[in-house]
Amino acid sequence: MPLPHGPDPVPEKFAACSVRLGADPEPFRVLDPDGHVVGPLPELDDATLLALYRWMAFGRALDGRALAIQRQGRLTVWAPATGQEAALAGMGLAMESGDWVFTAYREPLLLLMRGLALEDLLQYFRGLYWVANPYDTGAWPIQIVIADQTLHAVGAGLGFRLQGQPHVAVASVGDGATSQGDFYEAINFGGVFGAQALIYIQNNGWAISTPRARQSASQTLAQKALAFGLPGLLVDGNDPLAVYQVARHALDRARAGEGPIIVEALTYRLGAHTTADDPTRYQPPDEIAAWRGRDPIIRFRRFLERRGLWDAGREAVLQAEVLVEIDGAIARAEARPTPSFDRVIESTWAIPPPRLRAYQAARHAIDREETP
Amino acid sequence: MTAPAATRAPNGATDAASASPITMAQALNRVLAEALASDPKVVLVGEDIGHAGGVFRVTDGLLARFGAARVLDTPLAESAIIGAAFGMALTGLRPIAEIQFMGFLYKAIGQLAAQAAQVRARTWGQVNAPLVVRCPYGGGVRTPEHHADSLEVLLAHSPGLKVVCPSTPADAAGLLRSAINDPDPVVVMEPIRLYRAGRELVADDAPPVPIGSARVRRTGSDVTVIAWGAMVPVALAGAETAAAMGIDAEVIDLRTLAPLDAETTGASLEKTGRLVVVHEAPLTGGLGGDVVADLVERCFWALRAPPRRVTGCDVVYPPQLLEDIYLPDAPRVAQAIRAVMED
Repeated sequence: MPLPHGPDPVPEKFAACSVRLGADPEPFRVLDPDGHVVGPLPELDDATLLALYRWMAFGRALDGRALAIQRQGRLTVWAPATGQEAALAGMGLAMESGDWVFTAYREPLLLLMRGLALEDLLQYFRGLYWVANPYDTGAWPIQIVIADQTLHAVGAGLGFRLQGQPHVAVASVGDGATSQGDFYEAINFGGVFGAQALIYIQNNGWAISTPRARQSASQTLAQKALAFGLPGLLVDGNDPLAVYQVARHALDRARAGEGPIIVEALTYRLGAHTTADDPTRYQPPDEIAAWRGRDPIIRFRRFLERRGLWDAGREAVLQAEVLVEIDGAIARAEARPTPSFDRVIESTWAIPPPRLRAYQAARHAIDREETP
Repeated sequence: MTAPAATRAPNGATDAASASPITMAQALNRVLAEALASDPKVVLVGEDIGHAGGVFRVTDGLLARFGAARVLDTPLAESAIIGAAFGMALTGLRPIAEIQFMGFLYKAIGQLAAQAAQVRARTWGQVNAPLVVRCPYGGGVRTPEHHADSLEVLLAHSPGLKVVCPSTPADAAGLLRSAINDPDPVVVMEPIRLYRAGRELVADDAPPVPIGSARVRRTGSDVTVIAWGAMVPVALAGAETAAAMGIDAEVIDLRTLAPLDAETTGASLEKTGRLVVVHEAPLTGGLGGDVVADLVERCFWALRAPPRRVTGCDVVYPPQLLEDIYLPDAPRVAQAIRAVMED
């Protein structure tokens, strides 16, 4: 296994968004906040562009429905990704079948785009372990411990490399994760071994109430790459066509065995951290207003409208469609029976140890007594 | 491996080694070589395990024989070793990670106990992580600070993990074989003191030692002494001292710390009615408390005296010049055996 030789010169297209010593990177951008084309368009056909928009709209609608049913007690918690749809959908579109993604909890849209069924995802937020088999889609269970999944992706990416498999493992983390030791251990390990991994930071400005400036004194998070011998790219995270192209490049490079890239997508959390949070306590109103003006969905919709691919009529149809789809998945999830506690006992080890079996037997005896 | 390369058989064993007694370090090395030779999915990861052969030489010669894609000298980062090995295991590899000294496992405990150990449960049994973590552990050899910890209780308290702890070369080989074959994460605690403390014949074709099976190392009728790892020879020596006083102690080598072999320990206590548990780790929250509680719950009416524990005390592991006072030794074990006879 030859060791990687360090960062390649990035393609000309990404030179300005690449972190370098002594130069301020400009986030890679294709669309301005009003949807005007200001950068190189990716080679995507109209159907794919519309599918990408549909996913973003789906994500926004899902946040709305999930927040509503959480307040009714039908979900235990929800972490909305409102404002981050482009950062999620651009990455989701760039990944290929066979690629894996290890995310935190604000990336349901990315997981759904990889093929995870919404009703399976909802089981998690209803209060169950992960019901889908990760090997079916490459969508790995949501990670709650901040940054732990960075090492899993790097390990998986090394596993792919050692076994000659043409897949990439994506670690999706937030700005807060870059303060964790495991994040640095992961990018260091991944660089040394040329892991087929991509480190994707969605910098949404806030880690619960902790602002980006309190996570690191460094100017960008992508520049962390420099110290580890990796390329680092900065991208406008509210521009799905920019995220798609940067992600595609990073995935291709990792797939070719040339090592991980750190991609930082600049975006903003327009909602609460979770349903247990009140962001009005810390997010400045003028900051929120500024980022509302950069809404990724409005931006992409205007681009599509200018190309004659979208209009108010289609928007109305789409909104109705996605709600039907989401409500159908919610209904199917809620119709599923809650697994018995025996399933927990049976899945902790391959074979439950004797003491656990004894607990199980005692519990069954109590259940029998309580059942008239 | 001390045998010259020319005598190596294709399966990785050496003619000379199979015919002569070997140390625990050599036995472990032989099983690692066998696993690398027989299963292309087996990969070794750890600090200084390649060119240096591991600080205890347990992986000696394996890099030269199997190459850098099978034996990976890693950056100096314990959490990365476990976390990445876990990620590798998810891709179908069977990583065997070495944590150079168990005291350094604190840095990786999240990746081990919260991640690798829990993935099966968190996916309703759909995903498993066949990961082995080898940890040299324990004191008595004048290592510096943080090199002598016995952290078994952190692991035994973590659902999803299994923990084994051999005290002989043959058991080390057999338990490591079982650990490598196991579908779930298994931690192998290797007593530093015993790596080269003795030699025994270890058959190449010896079957794996099943995880969860204790072994009666000395049969006796008066008192049950339970120990593991480096404390087994101490317990055996204590039993010999007691024998000179006319007390017939049975010594059980627990061998697996999670899950516990309740059958073997229970059967012994039913016979003797008296119990001494010996371990190197501190008393409070130690595994000895759990072993005693389990036996009291199940065998209360067989007890003829209150159980006793001979353990480290509740101090930070002491510095080299004072560690012998801390570590349980044969006189302390013999004293406890005599005490439970007199109670």
